[in-house]
Amino acid sequence: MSIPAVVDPCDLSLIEAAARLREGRLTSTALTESVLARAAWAQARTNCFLRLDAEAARRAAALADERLAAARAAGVDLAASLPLLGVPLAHKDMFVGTGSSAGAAGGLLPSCGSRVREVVALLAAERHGAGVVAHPAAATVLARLEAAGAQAIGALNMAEFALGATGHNAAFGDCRNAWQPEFVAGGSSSGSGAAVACGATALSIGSDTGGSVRIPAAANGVLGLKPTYGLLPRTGSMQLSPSIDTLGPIAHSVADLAAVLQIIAGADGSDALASRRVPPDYSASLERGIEGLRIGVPRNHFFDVATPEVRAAMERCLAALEGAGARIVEVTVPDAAPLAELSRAVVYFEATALHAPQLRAEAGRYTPQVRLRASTGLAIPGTVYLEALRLRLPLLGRFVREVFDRCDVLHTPTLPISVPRRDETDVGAGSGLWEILAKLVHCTAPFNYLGLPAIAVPAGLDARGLPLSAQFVARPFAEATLLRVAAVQQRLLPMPRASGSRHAS
Amino acid sequence: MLARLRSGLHWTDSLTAHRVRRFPEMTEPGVLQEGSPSSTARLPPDFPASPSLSTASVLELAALAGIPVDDEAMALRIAVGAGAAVTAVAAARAALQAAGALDDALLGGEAADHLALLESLAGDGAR
Repeated sequence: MSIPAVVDPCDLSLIEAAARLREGRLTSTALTESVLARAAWAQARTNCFLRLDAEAARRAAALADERLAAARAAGVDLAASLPLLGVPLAHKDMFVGTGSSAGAAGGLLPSCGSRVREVVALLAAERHGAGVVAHPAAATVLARLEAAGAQAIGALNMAEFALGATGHNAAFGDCRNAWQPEFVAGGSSSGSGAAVACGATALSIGSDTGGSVRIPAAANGVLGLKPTYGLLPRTGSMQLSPSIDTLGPIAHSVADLAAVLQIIAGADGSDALASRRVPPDYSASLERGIEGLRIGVPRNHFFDVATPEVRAAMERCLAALEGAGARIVEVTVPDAAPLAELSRAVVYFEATALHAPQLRAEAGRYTPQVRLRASTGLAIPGTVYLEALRLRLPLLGRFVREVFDRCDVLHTPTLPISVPRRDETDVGAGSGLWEILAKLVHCTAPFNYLGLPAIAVPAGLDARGLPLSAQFVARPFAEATLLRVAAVQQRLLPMPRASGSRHAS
Repeated sequence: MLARLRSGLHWTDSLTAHRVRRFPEMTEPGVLQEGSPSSTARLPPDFPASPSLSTASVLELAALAGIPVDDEAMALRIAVGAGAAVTAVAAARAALQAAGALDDALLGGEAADHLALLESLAGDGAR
């Protein structure tokens, strides 16, 4: 008779933990204590948290336990009304708090990974206190998770103002890779990737403007979903480039991504650029398999700079998916290289416009490299910016027609290279830095410009023991298809956990 | 034209070399956003080189906008970073024009129609 392995509550998937809470097999207090203990380990290892309010988290857990017990006593099933009751979560520190969440204990306004925000938050608090201006609207995605019963217990590290793909942060300290801390966590949702990988939160909401959900998910060996532009309302979230910004979840489990996407997707009436399409049932098709699904492998661009190790990993993925019934087809994609550059024209211009007030008032509080990035739009003419936006329409139409008439999902690496070290991607690094940073977004940024949905799925470990990741891309609003493929890959190529190393460290 | 684009120069190979030679400090992430001018972005062979603004122009624009730019070195970094993006827009425009995809530019959709276009291209997401 085998002895079942003891699983820490914080290592349960989100929906498994929530189910156990409802059934009385786990208490929110026990889950929260497990999460807090893991968070302490994760923080020492990766510096993934910027704020964590343990006492508020314990109070919220006790309250949730009372509600869970009362519901059980009354025979009320909370699965539909409060599916996440009692589950502690932590998110990228870029969302306006709801006011009731423990994570907002340090203030309603997020730091956005920058010291600049300390001044902004103080000034805002004064104005709010004096009744001069109303509090900003809480983030819709956090409010929806809270309405489902989840409790935000902390805020996670990120690249300053989301302007960086590696996880370096000179203001609050770098966020480090969950597997090997001398390597980058990826960015800009660096804390989200590292915290999920460490088991300090089962799921985390981040944002993706050039790969900022998918890159840290890939670097830390977890899943990251960048939904179609407009699927998730961005009310109450930090803007970097409103024409391109997308929020997205990072998690260990595809089922968790599907469940949470169901909760947070859909227009909120405040974000004018949120789609009013009714989201489908994302969980319903997860078990359907991929028999007959056409997986497109691009002949051009996406593998141009891929290392042999990455290519081999992608081939293993495709072989597994083909074995599960998928049809692998080669496709030639419209030239994707300019798409990333077009995206930069838009992002630079919009970022500078958004940061202009802060740059005028608090330029010295930016870290130098981020200040430079935030100022680059100064040199982009308005005509060029608008042209970059207008060009998007014919380019999107052509890309979708030429690619998704031939396949259902496109398969690429998420990162075409191995996860780089922190020192080789930091300020002052050698001449190879430029190329490394370009390669980090080589496969992700084109889809930000187009607005297409994409998911990063773990694809094993490289020779150094660092994660590899495959990316799948689909037609607009075909997130259900992406999740279905990811579920199959996750089942066929299960990924070990970064937190498995904690007993040895 | 598209074939020419696909087989065209790896334009930032030379641009990067130019930066490294003349501005070694540019190899810091200072001018990089989520990535840098890609090493694989392609321009037609006959396309003009990156039309970066002069540092004096950047400083004038900064003064006009009231956004502080400390010195010429910072202005130079801004010019080079923006120049690559500006060049890419021009290249994409040229490619689409050559393919006849910009013939109805004045009658086509607005930039704000992006979401509507995404919705119209959705197809059957549950396939």
